[in-house]
Amino acid sequence: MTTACLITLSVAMGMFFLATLLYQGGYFLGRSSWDRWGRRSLMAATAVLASGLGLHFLMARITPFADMVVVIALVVFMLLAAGLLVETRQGLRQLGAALAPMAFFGLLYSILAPVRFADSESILLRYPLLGLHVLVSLLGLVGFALSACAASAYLTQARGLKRGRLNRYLPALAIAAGVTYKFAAIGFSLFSIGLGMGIVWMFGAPGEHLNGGDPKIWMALPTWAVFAFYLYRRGVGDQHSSWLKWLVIVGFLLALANLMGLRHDFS
Amino acid sequence: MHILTLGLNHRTAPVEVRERFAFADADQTRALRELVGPYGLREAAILSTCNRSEIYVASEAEDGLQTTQRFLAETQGIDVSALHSHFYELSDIGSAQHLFGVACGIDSLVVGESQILRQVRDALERAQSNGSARQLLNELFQRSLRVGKRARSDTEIGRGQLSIGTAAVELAAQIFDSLAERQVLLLGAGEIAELTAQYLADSGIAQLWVTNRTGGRAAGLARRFGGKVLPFADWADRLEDIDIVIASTSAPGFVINVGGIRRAMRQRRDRPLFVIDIAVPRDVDPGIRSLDNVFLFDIDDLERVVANNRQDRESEIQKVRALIDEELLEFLRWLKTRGTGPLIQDLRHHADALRQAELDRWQGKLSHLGEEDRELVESLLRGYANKLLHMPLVRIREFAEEDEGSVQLDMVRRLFGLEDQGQDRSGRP
Repeated sequence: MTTACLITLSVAMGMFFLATLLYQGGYFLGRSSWDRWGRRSLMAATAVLASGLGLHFLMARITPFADMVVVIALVVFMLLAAGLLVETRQGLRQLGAALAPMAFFGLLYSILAPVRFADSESILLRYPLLGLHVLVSLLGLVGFALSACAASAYLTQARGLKRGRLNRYLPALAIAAGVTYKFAAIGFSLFSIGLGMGIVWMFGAPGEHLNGGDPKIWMALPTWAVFAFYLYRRGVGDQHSSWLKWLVIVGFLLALANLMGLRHDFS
Repeated sequence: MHILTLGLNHRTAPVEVRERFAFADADQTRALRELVGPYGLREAAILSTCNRSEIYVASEAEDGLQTTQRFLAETQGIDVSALHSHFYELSDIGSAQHLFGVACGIDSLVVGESQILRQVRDALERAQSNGSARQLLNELFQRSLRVGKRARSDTEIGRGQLSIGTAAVELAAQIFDSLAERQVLLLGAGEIAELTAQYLADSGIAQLWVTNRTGGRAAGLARRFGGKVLPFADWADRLEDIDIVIASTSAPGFVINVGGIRRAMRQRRDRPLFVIDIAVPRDVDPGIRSLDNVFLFDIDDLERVVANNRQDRESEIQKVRALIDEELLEFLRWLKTRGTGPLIQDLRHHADALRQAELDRWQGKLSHLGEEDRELVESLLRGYANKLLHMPLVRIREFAEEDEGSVQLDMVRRLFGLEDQGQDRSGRP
């Protein structure tokens, strides 16, 4: 990773932290103007992150999947870009309040626990389908993340209403439930395509790079199964149950654990 | 004479306690008669609404509040000492200040709401018709009505407030987002429920159903909001399609229970159900909160909802408080000068008696006078007495407004030898 990229990443991280504080402060202290500044800060941080990634791609001239910091930074960027779009288009108020800390902690993790994929570059260069598999799978993860954010908003709002509180800060239950479903479906579709590409590559690529016991592959299956079950239950008319929202969050956490905690065994 | 208040409201007591202390209309009549009858209080009035139950009494004895507590214990089975933290006890100027605040709506759940003014008027009229509101409480309540009207005409306290109705619409929007396809059931046809239905109807709901035990009023409401009447026996079967329920019956127990809602939720496949319970005693079993996607708001929950609105309206509340202070000063003046009435009357009687005694004493020596001259002498004596009393009467009114006025008025009584009359008067029942 280039120094310029690291600097911009650090600046973006600081801005994500600031946005987190502003959003949380606005929520807990009831200052609506803080929310506006939080959103501005988040948008500016997203722009800084994008410029950092651009600098990295231009200057390092290597695949973006060679470094975990870059991979996570890329996921964070896609998440923020999609999230800010959803916030505006879907009326999912204050989605940024969830996105800002996710972005901050995601980048912090990648910096504190750097992982380099020693052989991945050569493999990816040889088999472009693998790069596409990673990109599509990560986009699926972004869908899961947005779905989980909406599910969290739903559960928080529902909990407040159960306790007799009106929370104008969070979206209406109907909106949160709709966004949860929509992004779970999008995420599941992309994730399934990504998995499919990975399987095609694994069986079709010359040579033997992964064995059947690869933990990252096996860990992807529970995530896929959780979202498949969610979509099935929703499809058969159980769309209003709160426990389905918990299921989405569990599915996202599994996907996150897979992304950050496990590596392909290319040995 | 003391004005005393014993009460609780939505701030001091949760709805579980308030509903035990609520007085139905018929109970109020009986209670008022007993308070001024067997319990020997001079005057009494009861203000009982969803959010408050207050007993105002006028008592010559210092222990009027204890008498009121004894009345509650003996007739209502309420042990005030056990619920001490929920009750407030006010006396004299504190009572007046509180009632003025209540009438102005600054003590209401929905700040500035005007319904309380009518409820204060009803409380006064009920006390008057039962003969339990005489000079003191009558004056107190009349003045509270006056300051209540001034608060609404001279300040913005009554405008733009978040009422229970608008709060219900906001809450519904937090659950359903759009109300366009929602069906609302009005269970019972109380006044607040009617207002709430009005706001929901204005928000463009798909269908309003109205039901209550007496179908006539339900039909009237349904006509007014373009809704439909539902027989009271059938409302539970409709819950499958209903999204919002507003319960405000006067039933003594729960009308909506956990079992019924659980069944309905199964039929609804857990589609969210918003239940507003504005009845006291409550109509809805709070146990339904534990059911998934059932959102229950009772009268206490609504207070939390309008809390932010209250903060926004703080400046208007300050203006209302200034009005209340003005009115309190006037009332205090009235209270003090009210005590001079009997003394002035006694002085006049005393002067008349002296004049008459002198005329009688000189009757024989004035017998040669004609009718015209006799009237002239009487007129001279009357004029002399009036002139002699003029300055003392002016001073008496001034003394009454001073802090140590009672001492000076007592001195006047002693100067003119009127102590006996004063004692006789204060000893009257």
